[in-house]
Amino acid sequence: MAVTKEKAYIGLAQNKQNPAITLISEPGKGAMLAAWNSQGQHRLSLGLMHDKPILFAYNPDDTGLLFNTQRDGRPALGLLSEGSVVWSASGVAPEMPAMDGILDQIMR
Amino acid sequence: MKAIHIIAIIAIAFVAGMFGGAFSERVFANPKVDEKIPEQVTAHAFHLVDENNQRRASMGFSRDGHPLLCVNDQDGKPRGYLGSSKDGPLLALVDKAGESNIILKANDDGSSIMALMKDANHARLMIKYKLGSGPALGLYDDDNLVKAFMLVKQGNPSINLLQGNQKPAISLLSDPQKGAMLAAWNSQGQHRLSLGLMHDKPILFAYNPDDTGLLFNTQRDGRPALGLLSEGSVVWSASGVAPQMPAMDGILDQILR
Repeated sequence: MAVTKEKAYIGLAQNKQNPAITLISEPGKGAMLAAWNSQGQHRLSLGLMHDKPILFAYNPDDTGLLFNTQRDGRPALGLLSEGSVVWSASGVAPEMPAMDGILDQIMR
Repeated sequence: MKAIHIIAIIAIAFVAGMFGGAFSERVFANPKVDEKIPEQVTAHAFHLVDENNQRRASMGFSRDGHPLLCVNDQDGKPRGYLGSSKDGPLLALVDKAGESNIILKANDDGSSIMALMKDANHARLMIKYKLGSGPALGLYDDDNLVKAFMLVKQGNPSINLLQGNQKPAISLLSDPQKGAMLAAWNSQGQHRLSLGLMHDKPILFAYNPDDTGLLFNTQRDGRPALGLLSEGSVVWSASGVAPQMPAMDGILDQILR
């Protein structure tokens, strides 16, 4: 549990002191729940970023679930297999966020 | 953790400083070099001195008649106080500049405070217990604003991160009689994301400010529903039946009230 100059965290760590699951908040950007896999990769998040909700839950090979808001404002929900959209709720493939960039936008 | 808590701890820091000042003035007269050092003394005040006759600890009374123990560093500066006050006992650890770093205070009314301070006016971490309110742990930023806190209020625990305006950002909430959830608020202070169980039924919603987003819940007939909403209208649902939207401002209230 920590408060830095701008951000606040409450986290649980893995054995290697990598993060396991964390609540993160940075005023002006957003807040989310984030989880990392055993390889230290950020692969699950649920939160609000710049007031827009996002949910993603991926295996290490980017197979998983993604919900976000597209650039045109429409909501998108999709299933991905190895990084490719294999199903989407709206019929439109949701644009994938840059996987390593989502949390960076909060944390940096 | 409210402003009154900060004010309370600042008041305690001030009292600790007053104790120290008054105590130093009253007790810390330099012992004479040729003074004989007895093995035991019976007195209203006494000093512990080192081999250089430097005072390192003293015991005496504050101006208002409360006993006080003070320990000094190698330069003779007071670095810690243990004493009593009209409200209860107090322990203060002081830095080289004379600022209270750590304060422990137990009040006769059953409340207690432990605080880590940047200086007398800025708390960094505070653990507080108030009879009837429950325990709380708060972390403060450089502007003396609480940014993270955990508390148990009336039996309901929560873990919370706050925005700059002191509104909630993201929280874990639990009410043993109702449910538990992760909840997040947007920059306008609107509750727009939740994942949890309410009355044993799962719920997930994640909305933009205009109620565009995702909703999963259990309908009144017991069927699960998953839908996408755009500006409050269902634009897709997994079952082909539009899920009923919960009252947006009511979900969290059902947990919190």
